[in-house]
Amino acid sequence: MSKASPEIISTYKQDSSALTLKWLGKPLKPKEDYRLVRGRGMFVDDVQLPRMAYAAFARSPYAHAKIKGIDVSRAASVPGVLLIWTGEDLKKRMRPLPQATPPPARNAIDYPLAVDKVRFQGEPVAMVVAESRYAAEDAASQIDVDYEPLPVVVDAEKALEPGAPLVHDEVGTNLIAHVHYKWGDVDYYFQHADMVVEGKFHYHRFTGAPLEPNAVVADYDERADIMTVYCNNQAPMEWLPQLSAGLNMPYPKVRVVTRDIGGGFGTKLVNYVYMVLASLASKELRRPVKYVETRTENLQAAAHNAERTCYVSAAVQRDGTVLAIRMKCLDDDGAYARHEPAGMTVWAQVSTGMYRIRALENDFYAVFTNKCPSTSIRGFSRAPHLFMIERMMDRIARKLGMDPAEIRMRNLVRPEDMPYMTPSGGLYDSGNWPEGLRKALEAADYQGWRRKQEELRRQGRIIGIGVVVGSDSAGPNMAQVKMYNPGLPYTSGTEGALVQMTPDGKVRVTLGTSPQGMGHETTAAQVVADVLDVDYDDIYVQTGFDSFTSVYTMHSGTYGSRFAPLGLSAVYLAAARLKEKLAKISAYVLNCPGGDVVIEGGKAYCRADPQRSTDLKRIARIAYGNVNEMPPGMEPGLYSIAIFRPPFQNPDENKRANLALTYSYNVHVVVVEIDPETGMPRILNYVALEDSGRIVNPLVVDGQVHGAVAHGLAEALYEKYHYDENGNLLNSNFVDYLAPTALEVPSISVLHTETPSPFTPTGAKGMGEGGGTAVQAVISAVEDALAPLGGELEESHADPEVILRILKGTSS
Amino acid sequence: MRPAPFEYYAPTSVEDALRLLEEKEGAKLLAGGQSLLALMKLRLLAPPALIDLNRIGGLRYVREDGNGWISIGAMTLYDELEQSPLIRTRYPAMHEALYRLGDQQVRNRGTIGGSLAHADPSANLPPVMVALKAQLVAARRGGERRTIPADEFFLDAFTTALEPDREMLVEVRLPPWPPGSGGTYMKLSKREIDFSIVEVAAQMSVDGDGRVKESRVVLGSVATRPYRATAAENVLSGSVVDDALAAKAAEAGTKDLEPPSDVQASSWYRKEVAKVLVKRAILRAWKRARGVEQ
Amino acid sequence: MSEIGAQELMHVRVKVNGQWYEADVEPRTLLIDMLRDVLGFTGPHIGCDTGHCGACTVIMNGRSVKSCMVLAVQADGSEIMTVEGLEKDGKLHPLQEAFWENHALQCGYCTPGQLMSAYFLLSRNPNPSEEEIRKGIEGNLCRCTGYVNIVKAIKAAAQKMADAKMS
Repeated sequence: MSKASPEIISTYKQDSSALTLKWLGKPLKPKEDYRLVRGRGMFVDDVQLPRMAYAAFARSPYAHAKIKGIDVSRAASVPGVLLIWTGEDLKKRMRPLPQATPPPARNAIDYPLAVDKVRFQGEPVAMVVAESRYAAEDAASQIDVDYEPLPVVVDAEKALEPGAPLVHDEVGTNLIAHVHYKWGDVDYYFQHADMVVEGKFHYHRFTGAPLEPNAVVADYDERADIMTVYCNNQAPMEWLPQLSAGLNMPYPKVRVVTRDIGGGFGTKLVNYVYMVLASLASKELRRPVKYVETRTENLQAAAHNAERTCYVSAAVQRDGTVLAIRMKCLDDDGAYARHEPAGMTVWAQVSTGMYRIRALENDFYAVFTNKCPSTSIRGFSRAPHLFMIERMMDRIARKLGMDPAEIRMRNLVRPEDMPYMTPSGGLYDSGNWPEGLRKALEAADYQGWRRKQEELRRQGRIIGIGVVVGSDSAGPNMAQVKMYNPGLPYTSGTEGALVQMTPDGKVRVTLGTSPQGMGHETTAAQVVADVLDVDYDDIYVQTGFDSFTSVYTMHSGTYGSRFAPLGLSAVYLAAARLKEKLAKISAYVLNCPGGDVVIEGGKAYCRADPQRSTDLKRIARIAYGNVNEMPPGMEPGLYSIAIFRPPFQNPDENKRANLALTYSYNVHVVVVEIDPETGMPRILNYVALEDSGRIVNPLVVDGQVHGAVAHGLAEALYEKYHYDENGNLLNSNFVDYLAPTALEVPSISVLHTETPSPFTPTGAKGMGEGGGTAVQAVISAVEDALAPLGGELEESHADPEVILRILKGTSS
Repeated sequence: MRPAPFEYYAPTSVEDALRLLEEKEGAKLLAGGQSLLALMKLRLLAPPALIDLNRIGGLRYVREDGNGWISIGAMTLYDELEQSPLIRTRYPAMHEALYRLGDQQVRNRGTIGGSLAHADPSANLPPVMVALKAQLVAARRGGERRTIPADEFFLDAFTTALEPDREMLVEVRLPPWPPGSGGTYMKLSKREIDFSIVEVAAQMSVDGDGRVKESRVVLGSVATRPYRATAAENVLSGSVVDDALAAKAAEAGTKDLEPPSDVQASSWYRKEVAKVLVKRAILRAWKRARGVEQ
Repeated sequence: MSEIGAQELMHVRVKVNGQWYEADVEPRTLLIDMLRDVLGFTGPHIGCDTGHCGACTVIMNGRSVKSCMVLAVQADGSEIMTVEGLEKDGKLHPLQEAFWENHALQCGYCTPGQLMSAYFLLSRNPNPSEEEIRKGIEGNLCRCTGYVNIVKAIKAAAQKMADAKMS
């Protein structure tokens, strides 16, 4: 709404004086890649343990049905079967999974195996553990379940109608949660605006489909009474409480480990149900138990994004100024609230996009349906929020006869307003956004394409140009869950790191995060190298997370684009503290005048007398072994632990709060051509500009942009789940769920502006999810192509058939 | 996912394979396995026995016979055919269908015989076989051979004229088309690797003035078996092809289509784009027959 | 002729990365499972059920194949190369170097398959165009990179290999 107050800015401002800027920004070869190009990654399915058994599941063919009986006798007779559990067996061994929802949705009973009834197609009904994967699958296919099909609800709006089938009978309604926000004087702006523009939009259902499916190996060591869980969860600490409670074992006895993870994109936040099941089975059998999801299981039943329907209106001035937004939204969260309804509040502050919109009202409902439970897929929640505002911008521009780039330019937050506070209390940290837009338009030859569009149209060719701006709001403040459930004891967003100089002078780093290809080992090493000014190759970052060795908080993990703003900040702090200690020891050892020592290039020397120097290796040996040479009273060792805590606060009584630490900025300009006779779209040009603050490693940053673009355009053009009215998922493997290949994804040109964030010590901002900007850009371009025919797209997915119907003027 | 158990046989002769096929009830022949194994892994199929044809010698070849026919062994890989200069120059429609079939690994393993005997109504090769007037050679025990015209080979979805448990496909024979012939294969799919939403194979021969002497226009993915658009062929017959005529032929040839709906496309969409593809295929095939386009 | 019953084990001999291995497997055992679980070559991965993702791609008798779409018994007597076989004497193959230098991977799960497809492509076409590279890896899904750096890396590797030949 305006520039943030100096008090707020000073609270957020970070000290970055320990940076040397010698190692940041360099395209160093990623540390992870060396083992991965040699096929030596360590993924969960690569874990082989003696006496390991394998799990498989029988799953529901129905979207909603009563379980009248389960006969496991045929399955039990399959050679090699060790254990068969149904929901009833599980009920005796664990309590239901805790619900983060407010009442009455909190009454929903959620077990990892269905009890009494099934609520979505693919829901696990029974688990088999056997000597081999093959035997486990044989037995799972021979579990006989007697189902009584129940009426199904697959539409969020219908789910709220009286008499709709209830997904959870014990809840008494399909409403998971309802929140209402009103920030700024919305009514005033709507009364006094020159005009009101309206639209209805639907953000469709898809998933992240990482190439490695969910997997877990649980290994109960009876002698040590320790449960080790090798998993590929993105934030295992979030689920340790569930594991600990389910196993009735304290945290120090439950070791969760991640190593290489084959992609996540949000889907792997909710695989804890498998972690619980495999752990319980391992404890029961006293054997390691492995479960690896099949692709069909993964696409059908692991994790989808929440579908969102919004009715949006905008109060607009004739000159294109957008004053206020009012919207009513419904999230279709599927059958269980295992992660959602977080999406209806998370990132609510970006509902007004990158614009100086003065006021916002949002009436938000989250709903159960008989579909796969939803979670935070890449771009989570900000992508649909930004979709709504960006679609509106295009519509407003058309109504006013303005160029879509021009209307954005007019409304963008200006550099002089930074740091900028949104109506909802969001704090946009930095950037020159109009400049970024200008740069992207120029790089994409926007004006040239506009002229070409006209020329080609005269030849019967249909070209569309999409220009959108967006944000990867990053490093979430978890207190936002209080907006729908004030009682939840979960706030802020923190991360930990350990930086240790070992006695040989090398540096060991452990992180609280569980990366899935984001290059954390690389960028953490670069930050450590930069602060300590030691060689990148001398820094060893532990792969993945280990709750027995990593420094963690309950927020730890890799989600919400949080590593750069939170994780690297912890790394910076730990390295800076270590550097201080190294300096103190060195000054003492070298007897530097005034204790003034410089640490540089792996050495320490007295500032006043650079000849008096030592390499840090010697200092390390002293700190661990030759301790009498250390300053008297100083604690030996070179361990440095830091936990970064941003100055986040809880939402105030008006639900105003800053919900993310940094706000990357991106502009995508895309040109599509549509085959006038088949409706098939083809991308002719793709330009993505990214400002993610200080770039730690350009290879990593560009890679993330490429990936976010590929996901977004895939969602817009290829990937969409289709449920029929009976809740059958019609595309649950890669035959029909169209993950694009190298022939569909075009080459992408990436450019940058680089405005360091004042709110992180490294200046880096979170990035990589892309905020769904690619979805919006592609849809914007397709709609731009169809606009002369009066075609408007309601959905975030443009199927050639939908396009052809618009071209032909026929409705479906 | 993993297949259910089965018995496995790897005969080294056609005769042994046929004997096993007759003896082992419900047994399936395993050629390249690129469709069969996927169905078995999903446990949509669980044959009690597989008869692997990969150890049989003498079924992998492409050769030109003296009379201008080309003979292809049933176990010849898609990739071998796609790379064959003979196929590329003589039957560009077939080359294009092979180039756009699956992906490199599928083409490195899948076989022409396997594809044709599987008779997937969306597969690339069946319409091409009908368009080229291919002859398919079935073997029976005792060295007996029967030749089935492609027109009569594909009976229904996943159903061929091969006698169950008694016959196997051993050879594909392609007739010579006269000088002044051309053809093409076109497919519409969202991803290149996908089975088509609609596909068309068109083959024709023209006289010195460009009048169509003979044509075949065959669609896939629009019916349970390759659909020969004879009404389109009739429109073309004896005429010089231009945009208007191609459009007219396409209109006539697709008028009676009642294509299926599925998750990728509705019946309406299939019919609309079938018309477009037929028109485009006719134009390109004619231009190739005239030698004015590659 | 070999005839093996459903539950019986079949003896399979395969040469993997230059060395012969033997194992007894059920007829239904997929080649990928034998490579990973029996022989310990965990480089190739499993990413789907339908032969679409290509993560399990290996070279079998000179051709790239998806090892989840081949039975282990079918590979009896075959020569197989997995990603682990690309390195020679501790030195990375030019494709591996180029993938590393160009960050042609993120999570690394598809990488072993991408490398083997690229290896086959370059064995047949040492100087592929961008279009040919994209066509060459159409059987290998990547969910992280948008293929941008993979295409770049294969091009760079082709150049490296051509340069090495000339020097």
